[in-house]
Amino acid sequence: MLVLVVIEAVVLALLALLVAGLLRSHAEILRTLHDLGVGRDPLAETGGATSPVRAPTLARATAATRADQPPAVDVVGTSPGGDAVVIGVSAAPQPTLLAFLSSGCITCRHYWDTFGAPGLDLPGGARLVIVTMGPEAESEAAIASLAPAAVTVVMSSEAWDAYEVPGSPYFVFVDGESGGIVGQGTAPEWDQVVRLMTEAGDDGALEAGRAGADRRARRAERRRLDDRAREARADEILMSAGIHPGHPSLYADPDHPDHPEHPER
Amino acid sequence: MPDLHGHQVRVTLPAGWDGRITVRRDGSAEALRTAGGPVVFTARPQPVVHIANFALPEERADFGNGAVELMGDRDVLVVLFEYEPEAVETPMFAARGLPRSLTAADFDPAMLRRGIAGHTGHQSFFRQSGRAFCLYVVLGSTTRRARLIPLVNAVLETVQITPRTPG
Repeated sequence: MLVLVVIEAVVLALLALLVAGLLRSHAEILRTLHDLGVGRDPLAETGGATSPVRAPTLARATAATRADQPPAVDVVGTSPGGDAVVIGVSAAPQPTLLAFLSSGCITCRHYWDTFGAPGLDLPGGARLVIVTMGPEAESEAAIASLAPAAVTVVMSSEAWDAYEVPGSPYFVFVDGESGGIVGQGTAPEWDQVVRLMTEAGDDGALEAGRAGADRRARRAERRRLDDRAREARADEILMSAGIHPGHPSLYADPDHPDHPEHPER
Repeated sequence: MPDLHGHQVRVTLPAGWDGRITVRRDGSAEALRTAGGPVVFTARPQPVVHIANFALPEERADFGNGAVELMGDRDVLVVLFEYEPEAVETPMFAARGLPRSLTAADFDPAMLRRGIAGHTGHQSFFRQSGRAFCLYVVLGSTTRRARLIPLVNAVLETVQITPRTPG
């Protein structure tokens, strides 16, 4: 009898030890997932995590990591409206930020809204291109409703494969001059992506592309001003000739026999 | 090198170039009429091919307005604008085949849809595979045209236009 009681006590002790071990292992897993940011929902009003969580994997490429990365490739796909699209990335005159987003992920919603805001400024004169999975894996209608009007959106599963994108959101920052990937990874906040691009620019890695992009922006602004000046000059000449807005000559039918330039007059 | 293809047009682009084949989204027919007169022609949106060695902006017109303003002196823009199938029978499209070997003599700033100081342009109208097209090319610099025209010709060499299929 005593032997049975002793055996039962030993078994119970072993079981208690096993349960304690399992609980500890479970806690370790939860803590690791929490540190990785899994389950964080930036749109949730009451998040479980109150302490700051680091960006999980967003990182600049080093000389060592660049050797292991696939080369930057141009993005080939379709627009949400069905246009055939090729976006030059690998030898482009400016750096390119590829934002791999999907219509379903909650964190992506924050980026769709951010990219649609007017006056979005990308460091280093970079070009923003949103890349979703192709129409076979994504809803074209959903992407069309999310796509900002002024930002290029390409649906291309091939690009996801080429850049080995593990999930969305995911960012790849490419220096067009060298065709190299400057940094990549995921981040819950836009600020972290901007910081990556800014640091890359500060290193001088993107100097040529940045200078080119700055020149392009200045040229576009100058030409906008030229247009306004030309329009003002035309208005001035017309008004000095007595032709004001609404003047009948502006609406005359040149085929009418009474028109001053009609050949029969 | 990436291939741009759609609407029975295929172009191979050099690395780093942008390309789009677009059909205007509104889809509505555009009635063209003489001043105050009857409708003489009804145009339906047709494919437009844009190819550039710079980043094409999303907001741009068929003949590149919105994009040409951004061009630098090393930039080129190539537009293939398709017309209505009926247009192929008109004298304007009597020339056969896409020009593939442009020379400096083919360019003139007067050919620009939007005149920008320093730019020069080319326009030609042709028929190919029973389809009517305008080839419109803008060079970002007249003085650098000897360097820019070979870039354009290299792309034109790869253009394949096949007959339209229904649908």
